[in-house]
Amino acid sequence: MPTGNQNNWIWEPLSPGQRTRLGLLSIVILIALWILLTWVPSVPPLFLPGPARVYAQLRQGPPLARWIADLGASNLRVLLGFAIAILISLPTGIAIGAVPRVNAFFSPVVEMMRYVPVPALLPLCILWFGVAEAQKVLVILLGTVFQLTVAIALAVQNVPKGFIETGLTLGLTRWKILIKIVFPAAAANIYDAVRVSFGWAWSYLVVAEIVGSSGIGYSLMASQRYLQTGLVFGGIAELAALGWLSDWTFRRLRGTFLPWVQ
Amino acid sequence: MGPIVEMENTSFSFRTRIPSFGEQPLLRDFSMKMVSGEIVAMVGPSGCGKSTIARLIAGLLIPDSGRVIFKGQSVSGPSRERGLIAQGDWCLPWFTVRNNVQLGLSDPSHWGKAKQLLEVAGLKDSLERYPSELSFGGRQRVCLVRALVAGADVLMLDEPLSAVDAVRKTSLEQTIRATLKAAGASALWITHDLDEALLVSDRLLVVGGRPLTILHDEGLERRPDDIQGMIGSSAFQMHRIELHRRVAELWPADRL
Repeated sequence: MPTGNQNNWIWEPLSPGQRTRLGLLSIVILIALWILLTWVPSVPPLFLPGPARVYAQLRQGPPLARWIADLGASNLRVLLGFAIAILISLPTGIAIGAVPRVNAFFSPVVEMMRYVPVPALLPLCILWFGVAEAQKVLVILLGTVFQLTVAIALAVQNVPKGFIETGLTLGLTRWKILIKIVFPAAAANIYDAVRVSFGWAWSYLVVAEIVGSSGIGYSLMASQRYLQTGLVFGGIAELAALGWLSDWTFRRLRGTFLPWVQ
Repeated sequence: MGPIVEMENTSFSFRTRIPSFGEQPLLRDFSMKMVSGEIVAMVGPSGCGKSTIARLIAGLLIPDSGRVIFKGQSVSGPSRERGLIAQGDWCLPWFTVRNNVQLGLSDPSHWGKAKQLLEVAGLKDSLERYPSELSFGGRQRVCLVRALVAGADVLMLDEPLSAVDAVRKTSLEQTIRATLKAAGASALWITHDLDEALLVSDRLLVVGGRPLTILHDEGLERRPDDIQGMIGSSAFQMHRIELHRRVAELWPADRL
């Protein structure tokens, strides 16, 4: 990439330091805007508490042990629900993508369910499983399994035909082609689909925890009920941090799982 | 002993959604024979149907009428005995050279012979590398050995060196030819480079027109050990010039 050429500044790559500094700058500006807004007289503290108020609410609010318990409960539900979603969607998605008959069979149901908003399924889940752990895991599962299946099927269908023909002209069985050619060829797209879906899993966690007695989502709603807006912001910040952390993990591990991808 | 590959009155056209009125099929009653152990070069203008012929012989396409015969049997689908090096870059990037080459290996005892082929192809020291670390010419050689190791008796090479620079082309041509000969395989070498065809093949087929016809069929005399000598000889050069002239007459100017 040419550097120092004024006409190409849009495409000039950044040094890691530049990247970090710019990212931090946006966060600093955001915090500054927040503080400035809280000084505007017409903005009620209930809507937008300032840093002092947030700090006070945090100190008088739930103890650290409660935050950790919520964190643990939420994480467990997300990981469990998502793990089950992967266990279901991986073989199903690959089968749908690779075998036209399976595709034709599952398409109507999967496509329809993909468009049903998970909150619409919430009453059903509560009816069937009450407000226990199973209900929450189910909500997360239902929220992610359909889109994940479709994304994986698409990844399989997008494998260049030339790779499959390579397998055929080498005399490989269909099974070997699937395992040694199709799956690795689709792996990068499957990985990215899993990463995106995991983000959605956290959204559905909060939806699931609206009813219940523990978890970040529950605490968030409880804080709102008690008008502790500072704690609501705390919960949102916590979710944002967790989301960012898991995405960072996915990005770091991409090279481990897919060493051949540039 | 009969020909190893025979195309018998095969016709083929791609079914397109928009029918072109009065358009001729790609192949109509096309016939061709290949003898065991010979490298046949097929030279023709772009889009005339050479790749289609390669894919028909490989069994990836089924002719509309007529048949493809391999070792006396009708071809009904792809198999390891009829290998294909398709146009493009089809080394599997997630496997090392070793794993690529072993992909079609059904009998571990054949690995010794495979190592010999790797040596002839110049890949002996690249076994643990990934295809991305090799040049395009290197990757094509990997695909070549991979197909031979899987057990290809006849190999279709579809413009294998079109993307290679002129400097490296000649040595790669000879390496590929040597590897094919070492494996005892027959080959259909598709190229649009007439000079490349002259340097690698035992028999030259010039094709063109629509439907595709064989315009020129010539066995070539070879002196396999002295390529430079052959290129330098005036007999070769005169033959080459004559062929270029003839082919220019046979092919209509940029109509396809």
